[in-house]
Amino acid sequence: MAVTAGLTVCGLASAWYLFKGTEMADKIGVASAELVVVFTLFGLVSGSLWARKAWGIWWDWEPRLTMAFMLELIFLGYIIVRRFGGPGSEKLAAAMGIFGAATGPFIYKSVDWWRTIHPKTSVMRTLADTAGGAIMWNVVMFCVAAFLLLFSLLLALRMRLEQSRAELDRLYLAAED
Amino acid sequence: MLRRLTVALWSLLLVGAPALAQQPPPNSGLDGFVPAQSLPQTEQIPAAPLLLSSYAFFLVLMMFYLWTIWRRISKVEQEMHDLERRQGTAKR
Repeated sequence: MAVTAGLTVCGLASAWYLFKGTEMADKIGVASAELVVVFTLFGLVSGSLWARKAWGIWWDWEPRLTMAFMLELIFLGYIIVRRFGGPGSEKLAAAMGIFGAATGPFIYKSVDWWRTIHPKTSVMRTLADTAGGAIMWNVVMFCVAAFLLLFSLLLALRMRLEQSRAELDRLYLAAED
Repeated sequence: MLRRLTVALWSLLLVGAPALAQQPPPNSGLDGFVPAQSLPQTEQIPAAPLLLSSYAFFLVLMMFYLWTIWRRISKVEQEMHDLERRQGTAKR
């Protein structure tokens, strides 16, 4: 859920920056891209632990897991481009952010399109109707709210860093003048 | 602006086309939620160590990430103070 939120925010902010050139959108984009990396990493590791319990294996190169791994690489690429890309890398990174965000729906639907051992998306829809599912539904909703809150807090904190950097750049420019 | 949007939309459609063109495969795998207790005894692996590992990894990851943000903010703020001090000295 936090990854989905991160992808949505990053995709929208990147499009906003690319087409309008707003500096705030660039800051939101880079902050959310970093959070996508962090939460996708957690998803890959915790998913692997879950797979060990549910499937008896740590990893399988099936579409959902492979695409999630690719997503991690795309956003690591985003951060590397921002870090080492030099002047103008913001626009390239924004394009990466848009295409990275576009992979989100494909990753979500991959379990329906390519049937492997991964449960389908219908697991969530039918959860409440199954034995013990009503309790699990409440747990899922609680976790969704908790992770969205955590995402918002981390995004705000990461934005503060971007604002401080912008302030420092402004001070350097003022000093040069 | 409109041209850029059209190019972006076409790019997305082209990227998505191969996925949408896939034949729906035979229905296999899990279609619904299956409580772990309903699995055969032979397929059950102790969940506690895996669950604890997941929590531990998450806590370590969050602490590490918060530490990196704190370190970066401190570095930028330190640089700002240094710059302000240098500017103050230069004015005098």
